[in-house]
Amino acid sequence: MRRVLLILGLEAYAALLAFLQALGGVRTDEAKYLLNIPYPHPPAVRWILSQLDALPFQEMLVRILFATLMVQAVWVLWDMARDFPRPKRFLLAGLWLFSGGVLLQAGTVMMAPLTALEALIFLWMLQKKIPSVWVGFFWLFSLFTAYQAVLFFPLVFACLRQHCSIRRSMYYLLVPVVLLALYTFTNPLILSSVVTHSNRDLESSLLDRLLATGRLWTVGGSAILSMLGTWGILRSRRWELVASFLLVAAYIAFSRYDYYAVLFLPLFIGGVLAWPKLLLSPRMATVLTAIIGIHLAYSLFTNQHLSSARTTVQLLDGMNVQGALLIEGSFGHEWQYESPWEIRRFSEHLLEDAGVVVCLQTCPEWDKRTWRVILFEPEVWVRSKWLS
Amino acid sequence: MKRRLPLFGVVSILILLALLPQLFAERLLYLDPLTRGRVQEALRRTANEEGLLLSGFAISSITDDRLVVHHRAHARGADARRCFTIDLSSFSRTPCDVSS
Repeated sequence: MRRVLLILGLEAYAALLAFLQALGGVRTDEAKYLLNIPYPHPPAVRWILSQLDALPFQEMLVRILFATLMVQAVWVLWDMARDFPRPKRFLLAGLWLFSGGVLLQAGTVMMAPLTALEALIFLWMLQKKIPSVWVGFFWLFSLFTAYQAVLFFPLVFACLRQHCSIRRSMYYLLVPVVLLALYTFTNPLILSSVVTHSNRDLESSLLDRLLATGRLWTVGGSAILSMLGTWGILRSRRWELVASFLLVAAYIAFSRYDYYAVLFLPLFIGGVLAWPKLLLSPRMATVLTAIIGIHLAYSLFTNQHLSSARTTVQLLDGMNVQGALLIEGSFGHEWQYESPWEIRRFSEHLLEDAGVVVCLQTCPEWDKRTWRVILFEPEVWVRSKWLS
Repeated sequence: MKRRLPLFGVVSILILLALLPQLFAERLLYLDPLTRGRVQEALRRTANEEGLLLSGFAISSITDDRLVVHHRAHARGADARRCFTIDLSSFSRTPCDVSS
């Protein structure tokens, strides 16, 4: 009974995190996954999500599902800390649940939290000595979920080496990587996206990158778990943890997206589990982690603004608009997600088939006699006949 | 474990077989820089002129002088689909059957 209540309590926490994330509407990256737009990541999870895209509550359903996976993963930690005294197990659970990684990202429809969960499962597989073939399959699935799963290959190799020769371990490790490379060549859009992203932030100094990486390191484990986990990784001298930690830190230093903070999280847990002497004064550590985590969450969620895509579509919702929605200016995939009308870039010759024009930059000139502006920020024009 | 090794191999081969037709269709993108440049230009022009997003294009076949692409306007529920046959020297395009 107590366990059922705990599960329900955790589920309420997951639903709250999903709800808080939903306040900002769907972001461009989330729309890519919800609509199965074929970049930047491989298709394993986004294909599954797209099977639900006709459901009116798809966004909330997926947010709750992802948040549930992140929050209920605490039972994996519980199992991994089976030999610890109860207060230390509770501390570990608290460190996970109040970490910045969980609080800030559990309800997002992003691949980074899923990759972090997959890394946690690899740590669990390592501890439980799971047969290599299942590790191989899970590695294949992880790679086809998101490219950044490759950062955790040292954990996978360590899992495989528990049962296999080096040769067979390399087979399980490399065959999925080769398949992923081949998949990437079948989708030139991914290669083009990689080239575009590799040119981002080239002017940043080394110090800037170190500070940004340090900030995400702090956020990922709400400072307390970040320190304990990193110290545990270093003290344990477990090469697979150290190697994955360095790979994640280097990847974040180069890419610098805030949502990668969560990639540190499973490694911090691995560090604490590898050096459990660090789990001193459980109550104090949990309370401090919770205070920092809630502060981080408060800063994020109080600054969320609903996307202009959602506010515009909500405004148009009551009208019987027909035809395409043309957009002038640069826009994200959230417009495709929110709009029930086909989204096309503005071009004067497309006006004939359009019902709405949205200008995210200065509106171009066209014959507006049969159009009326209904909003100025962003500027939204609707054919007069749909307004009557 | 040895008994299970073929299962992993079989799944890997099935994935490889699923990828090969598309790899073969796009081989000129990687083998011929001239064709690659023309394909990029053809897609850019088509996207601009039709008001379509580049992320919706999927290449169906490429020869030295002709490109067939499908476009899918990703959206909630059913997606609008289009198909274009594009001449790679003049960049003129004609619609084609979306089921082709």
